[in-house]
Amino acid sequence: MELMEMFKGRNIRPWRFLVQIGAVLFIIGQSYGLPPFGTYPIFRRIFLPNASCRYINDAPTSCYYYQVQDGFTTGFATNYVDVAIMLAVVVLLIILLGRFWCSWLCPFGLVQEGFEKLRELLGIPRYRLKWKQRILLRRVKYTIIFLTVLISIPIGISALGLTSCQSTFALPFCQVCPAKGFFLITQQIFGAEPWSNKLPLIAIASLVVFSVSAFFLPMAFCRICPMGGLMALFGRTSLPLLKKDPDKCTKCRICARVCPLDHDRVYEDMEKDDVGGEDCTLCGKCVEYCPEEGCLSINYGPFTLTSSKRPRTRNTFLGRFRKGGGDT
Amino acid sequence: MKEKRTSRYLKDKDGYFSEEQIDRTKKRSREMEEASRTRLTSQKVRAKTLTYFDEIMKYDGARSQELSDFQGKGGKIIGTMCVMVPLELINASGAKNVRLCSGYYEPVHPANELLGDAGLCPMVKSTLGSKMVNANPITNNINMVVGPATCDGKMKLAEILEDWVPVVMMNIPRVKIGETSSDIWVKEIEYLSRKLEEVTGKRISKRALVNEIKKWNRGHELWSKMLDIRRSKRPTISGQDAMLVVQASQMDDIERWNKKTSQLISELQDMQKKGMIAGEDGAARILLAGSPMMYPNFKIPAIVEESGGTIVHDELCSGFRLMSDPVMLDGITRKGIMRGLAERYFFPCTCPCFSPNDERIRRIKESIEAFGIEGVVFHTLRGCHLSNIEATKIELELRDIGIPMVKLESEYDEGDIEQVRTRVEAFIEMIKARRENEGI
Amino acid sequence: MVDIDLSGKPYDVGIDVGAIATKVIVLKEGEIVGSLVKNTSMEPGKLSDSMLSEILEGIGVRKEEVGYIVSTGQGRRSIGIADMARTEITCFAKGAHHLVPDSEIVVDIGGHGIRVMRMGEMGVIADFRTNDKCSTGTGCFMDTMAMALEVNIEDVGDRSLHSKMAEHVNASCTVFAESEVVSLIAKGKITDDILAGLHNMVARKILALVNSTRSKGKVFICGGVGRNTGVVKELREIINREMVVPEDPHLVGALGAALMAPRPKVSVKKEVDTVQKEEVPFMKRFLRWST
Repeated sequence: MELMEMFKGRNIRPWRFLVQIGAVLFIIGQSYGLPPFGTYPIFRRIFLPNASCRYINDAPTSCYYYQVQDGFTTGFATNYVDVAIMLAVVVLLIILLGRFWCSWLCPFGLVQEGFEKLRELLGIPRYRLKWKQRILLRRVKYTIIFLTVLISIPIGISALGLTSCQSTFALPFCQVCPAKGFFLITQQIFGAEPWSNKLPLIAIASLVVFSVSAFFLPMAFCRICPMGGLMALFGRTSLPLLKKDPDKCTKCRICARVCPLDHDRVYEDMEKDDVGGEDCTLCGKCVEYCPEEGCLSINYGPFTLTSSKRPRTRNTFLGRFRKGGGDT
Repeated sequence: MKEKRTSRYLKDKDGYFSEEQIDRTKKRSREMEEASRTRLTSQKVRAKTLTYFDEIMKYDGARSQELSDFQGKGGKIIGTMCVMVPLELINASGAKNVRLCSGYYEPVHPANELLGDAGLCPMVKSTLGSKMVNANPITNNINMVVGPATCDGKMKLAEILEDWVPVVMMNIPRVKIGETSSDIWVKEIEYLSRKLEEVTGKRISKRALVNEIKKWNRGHELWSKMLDIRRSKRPTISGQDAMLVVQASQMDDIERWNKKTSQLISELQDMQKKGMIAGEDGAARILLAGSPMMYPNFKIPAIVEESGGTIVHDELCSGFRLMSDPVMLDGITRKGIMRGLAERYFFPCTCPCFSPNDERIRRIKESIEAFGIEGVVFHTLRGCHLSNIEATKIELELRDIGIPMVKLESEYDEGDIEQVRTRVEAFIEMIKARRENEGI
Repeated sequence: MVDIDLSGKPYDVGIDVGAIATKVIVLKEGEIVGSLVKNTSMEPGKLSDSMLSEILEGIGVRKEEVGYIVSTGQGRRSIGIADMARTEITCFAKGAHHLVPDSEIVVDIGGHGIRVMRMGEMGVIADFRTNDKCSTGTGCFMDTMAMALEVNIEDVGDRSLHSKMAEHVNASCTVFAESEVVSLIAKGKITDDILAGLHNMVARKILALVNSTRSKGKVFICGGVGRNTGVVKELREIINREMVVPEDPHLVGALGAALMAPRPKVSVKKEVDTVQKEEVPFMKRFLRWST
């Protein structure tokens, strides 16, 4: 690890890590005896646009996708008003915090980064998706959204006579979502959940698939995450933006290389200054590694939160005493 | 069946040249280098630390002795032919790097005898000629040549040089398309590292590679500080000197170069505080672009700076681009490092051998704004078709933003020096007249 | 720049030391009062000195009455008496702008070089081209051809006008063009026709340079070859732009040099400026400023 310390101009990762830990504590801490924020009823009404799982015991809130499926199934009688209101709140949240929900606040994102770190420590190169595969995954993402709606709504309409399928097909996405398996198993491991509650086979299978793919492919789940899919639609309207000053860009392609999600618009786009959207989760890795002063920046509305900086060879305290690189 | 390849270009390559011709080539080369050095040292404002870089680039200086000593102890010296060879890799394998591209005029003649065409690029001919008659003590005893197939001249030069030294050719994708070309180039770099390991007999370890990358990144950082000095209203270093310094990085050990450059930078900053300025007061701020100019072929920059201009920035693969981008690594997997290295040398490169090459135009425009450039001197070596063709496009683009450009075609000999001087002087007179006009 | 006390020194001198001829001009408030042309010798300094005294004697001006001496041309730096030296490119453009202010392209066809200047605003060059290591179309080229054809260089232009059917000359190198001309002579072609062919070739070469400036404006021809009526006629036929040739095209450089003298600007212009300023109403000025 010490080998790598010099290669960043701006260090965003520690701050992001702190925020992520905070988010995780907020969301899953109750299962492990932290004071329950969740007693405040307001939290129970707001659902988050990220993978904070419903299957975490005593969680103050959860991902809205569970609620969407549930609402589509049960809401036929009430003309889906509840779902609509909830979605409106979610959209508001997306506009306010954009994809900060993903890489800064999503507990499942932290899990995936853990897998990535493990791979790096073992010195195994990451798998890079081909362009075609990326497009395919993007399609898979929207197909998932489409299928969830397609399944959730008919099984809730009694006239269609499909209500008997509810026991097997309710919450179709949660059945296959690896987050469910992951959080249930961790709770079982740490004793917050009895082992007697057997996981369905499909959840275990998806967890295994997820673990293997997240190990070789950074942020594997984010690429098909349906919540990310919805956020991508609002990517340009939400307040947090990834911006680029094309004049300063030298097209060195560092941003495209370090991006965990292979989002290449940062590299390709030379006309618009707003280069986020699509797969970008605003993790700020490209801003960290961009060697051009002020070329890339993360903005919140009109304010610049942070921008790229020329790397300094001796930016750390320890770096001064270490051999190599410096010219002492 | 592996057969030892025989010389294709010269059957009796050792006995072909008379002693007299070899001696004359060496003598003239030394004279040319001395003349260039005198021109550099006779500048009125010149930092003292620059003498170190003079010594490194000197025809028969301490560096050539040092290199042969290093080789005597079993070290290997790798010649590079292009800015796109990852020097970190060479250093990590324990070998030293030397830039082969020659700026000496006299070795052109032996190469002319072999190739028989006056229209070829003089740099290619000079490099070949130096090898043919062993005219340059620094580049004489190389163990291997790394030649990326960038422009046509260098591609074929690498092939010809195979008669004298082992050559590793590298295939450069000439169209930059994201992953595809990157993958090709990464594989080429991996091939090079394998070849280097073969030559040096030493495995390139991850740690060594990262350490070398750090050293070179330090060099990049220093160079960007140097650019800050040149960007200021009163630069204390002339364009020729800056080019000398950055070219020395290709010949020197990078660690020592870093040390000396940071010394130089602090000296330049002190000079700036004293209010000194390199070149004339109110000189025209010139950007140098086009074909490379290797020391001692500093004819054009010398003329520009003698006629009342100051070269505050350049866009040459023998200048700014040598140190322009750092390698940024986000992981310590070997593959990741190789990819980082490969992409640093490939994507930001604005060599005209790439097509389309809009980045170059954008970079020129950007530096025009950042450095307060008033005119662009576009230099093409004779036979440099790639630069020649791009010159027109760049001129038209610059015309749109109201920056004048003059295109100079030159060779290594000094026969056209007066012609070039007239044009450069007229160009600078024009810039100053424009300046007066805008002042009214 | 040299500061000179200008009181009682109304005359400026421009010396154009070309590759073939040296031109000296004496100027008084923008009017030519005397000029002289001689072949450039090995000592351009001495030559121009004696030429200057000759002119001054001829018009009865003392040497002390001369303000600035500006030299130009390829030998500009060997003129000891000059106060400043400017390149011929700048000077020809200056002279051309003085004579025909709306000319957009200035073509100087000199002894050793062809220079094409594109003019920008206020008589400042925006862009220029020169012949690159190729002497076709220059004065020297014409000299060589005239010698090969045994024609006096002064008659070359007029004789080619008599041609009824121009020969075709292809070679674009002085030496090869000469051998082509010799072979045409051997074939028994008429000298006038060969000359016309040569002029056509030269005109095409100049046109290529003019076209490379990508400007469609008025063309001003100057330099020694501008006196060659044959070249001018051929050019006029193919250039497809308005074209002006002054009376003494070879003197334009020296004129420009003399005009380069840093005399204080004539005050007439200033008055015009103030009048214009008063005419602009306040609101208009405000609007102009605010945009």
